Amino acid sequence: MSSILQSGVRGLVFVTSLCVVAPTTASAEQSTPDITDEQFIRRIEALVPEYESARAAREARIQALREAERGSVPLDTVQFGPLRVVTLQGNVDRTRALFEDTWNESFSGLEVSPSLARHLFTFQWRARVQRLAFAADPNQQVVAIQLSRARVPTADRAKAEIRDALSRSVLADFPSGSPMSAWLTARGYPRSVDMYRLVALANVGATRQCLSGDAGACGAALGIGFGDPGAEISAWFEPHQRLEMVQRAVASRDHLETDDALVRSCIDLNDIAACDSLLARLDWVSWVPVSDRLRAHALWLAVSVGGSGAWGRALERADAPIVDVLEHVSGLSIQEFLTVWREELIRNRPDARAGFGGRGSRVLAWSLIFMAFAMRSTRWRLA
Amino acid sequence: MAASLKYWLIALVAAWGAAAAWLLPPSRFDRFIRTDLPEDVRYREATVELQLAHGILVSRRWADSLSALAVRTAVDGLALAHPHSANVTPEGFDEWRELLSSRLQSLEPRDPDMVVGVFFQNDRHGALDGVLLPRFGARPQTYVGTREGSPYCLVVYPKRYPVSNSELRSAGRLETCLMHAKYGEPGAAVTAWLESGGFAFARDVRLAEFDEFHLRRARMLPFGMFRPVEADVATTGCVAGKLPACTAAFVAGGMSRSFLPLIEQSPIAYVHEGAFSPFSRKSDALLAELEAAYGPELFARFWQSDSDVESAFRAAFGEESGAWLRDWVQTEIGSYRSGPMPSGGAILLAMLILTALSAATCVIAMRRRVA
Repeated sequence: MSSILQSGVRGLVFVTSLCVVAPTTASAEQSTPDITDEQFIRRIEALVPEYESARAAREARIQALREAERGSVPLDTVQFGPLRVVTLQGNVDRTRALFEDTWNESFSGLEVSPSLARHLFTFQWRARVQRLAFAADPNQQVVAIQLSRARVPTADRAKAEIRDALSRSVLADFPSGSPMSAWLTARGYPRSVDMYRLVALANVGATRQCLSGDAGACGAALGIGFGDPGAEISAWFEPHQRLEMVQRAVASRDHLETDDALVRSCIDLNDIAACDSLLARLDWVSWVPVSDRLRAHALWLAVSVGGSGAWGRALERADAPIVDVLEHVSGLSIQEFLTVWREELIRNRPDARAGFGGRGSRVLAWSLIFMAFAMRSTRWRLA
Repeated sequence: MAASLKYWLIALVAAWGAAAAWLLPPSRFDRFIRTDLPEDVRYREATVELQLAHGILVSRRWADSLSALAVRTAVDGLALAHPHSANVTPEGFDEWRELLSSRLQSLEPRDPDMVVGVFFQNDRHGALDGVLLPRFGARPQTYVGTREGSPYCLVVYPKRYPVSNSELRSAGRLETCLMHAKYGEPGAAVTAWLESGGFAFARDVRLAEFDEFHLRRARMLPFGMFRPVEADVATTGCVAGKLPACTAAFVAGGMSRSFLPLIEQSPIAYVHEGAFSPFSRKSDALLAELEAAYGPELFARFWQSDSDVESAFRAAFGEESGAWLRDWVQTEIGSYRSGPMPSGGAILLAMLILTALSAATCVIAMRRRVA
């Protein structure tokens, strides 16, 4: 307490001394005029030890708190491939099973990921979420997966959460600005069922034709293949969408020079033919009017189709055009790959019909509640 | 008491008991409350002290070197400079100069003696090695003063990384030096008012120029503001149409208090804190709108007056500052009724529901017959 008082008094004296000599006026000549820079430097140097001492005291206290917490909750570590997962002692078997399943289903080619090796995961599920205190390598990035039973009731949902965390942890494998880093999204691992919905509900010609069996249109929905022979860009996208694609390509990347005559015609004069010529020139566009999660889905599918070694092949071509990457990773030609991607979407079409959704159960619940009250009424009481 | 009512009461008491057991100490609730430990308080105070002192030193050095640079290198009253950067091309610099020069030349009126400087400055320049950097960080600053007989107004953008052409282009306005460039040095009381917060109303922007994105977002918010009831009291009161609140909002200026100690003790006249000005940032244009409303002659009278701000405003424009601000807020922001009372609609609805329930109760009671 005395140190706080001392510090406060010193601060007050310092500020007061400055206020006395510093009239509150604007000009450089008038503020704190009779204190030289050297005197100021000496004052600052006098404050530095107090600051360092206060910082050290605070850090020592934080460290002491951490030490006190460490060991209060019994922990264990699950090691699986390159993954290290810290969890509560009673959760070890469940954690191992979930991570093993997830790894084998979706990430078996990722042993070579350099960024995954730098991650340490903590996992809590179906238990009261607690602060896990453990010694971590300062170079390691700790990713906490804390799932409450209410939000994540089933093992499948828990695996989806693990999949999201693992897919985010490998984003740093690719240099910023590379096609791979642009296609992988930080929004997690895309589920095929969700992707089918996105494709089916998008109000875009490309997605409609893709579901009808046109592999080129599937590529267009991913933003590739506008320059391929047989490309029907006018059937895939509306004119305003093509214009926006060029605008965003100009804004986001350097592949299109702003002083290019075609760019000026497209953007300034809304010349759609010029926009189409520009799109045909690009190996991929940074934006299409469909969710960017489709691209991440296609990329993860390519890794899955490519099997073991796929991630290593992706790392080999980190800076290559995205079509090359997809072919190299999946081991298929781009046309074959797009056909496989389309089949994956169709296969995951949800078997659902339009119904009352959640309202039916809510209506039923309220009806039962009112019926129960009605039964309590003297006029309606049974028996 | 009816048996069923007893059950409800028991359930209620049990729920209270459960909540109390969880919330009353010793409980787990304290985990969510962050209490300041003595070490935290001491660290925070030492940090504030050190950053304030270091900020004063750095700003003294900047004011000294940049004012000299401005006065000696100004061409047609404009001085521009940035730290060496490979990302700035000669064409980019020329474009920046042209942008600001044409802006300055287009001003009507304009003080021919005033030197306006726009500078990018390395944020570590003039700082002591190994000492915590000042708290102003990358926030733009304004310096106003006189050097070698020349009045100057400088806008300084502290930068950590090399600047680029696009950053130069984005600094294409005179910002808080607009009125100084037009009307020269203000009177003493107006100067003090500007430094205590009035600079937040003095940016180089008109309402009509506000970014469409910003306005679209503002339209989506109630009264175009982020939570008007959570703004400071004067702002909230002014949006509610209270004259004293509007007067206070104008006189107090639109700046938060956090940098006042630094501004009072250093040559810095203003630290721009980002999008925290009141009235949904529209108040950035307040002085420009005031000038447009009354004309340059009356505005110059206000600007150069030696009286306090309220008197200067009244003498120049023939109106109370609060009354003018209230009308401006009503036009630009809208009206938000303040106070704890429910709205008229809510009261009416509540009365209707109560009436309907009373009527239903009466009808049931009247239909009841003794068997």
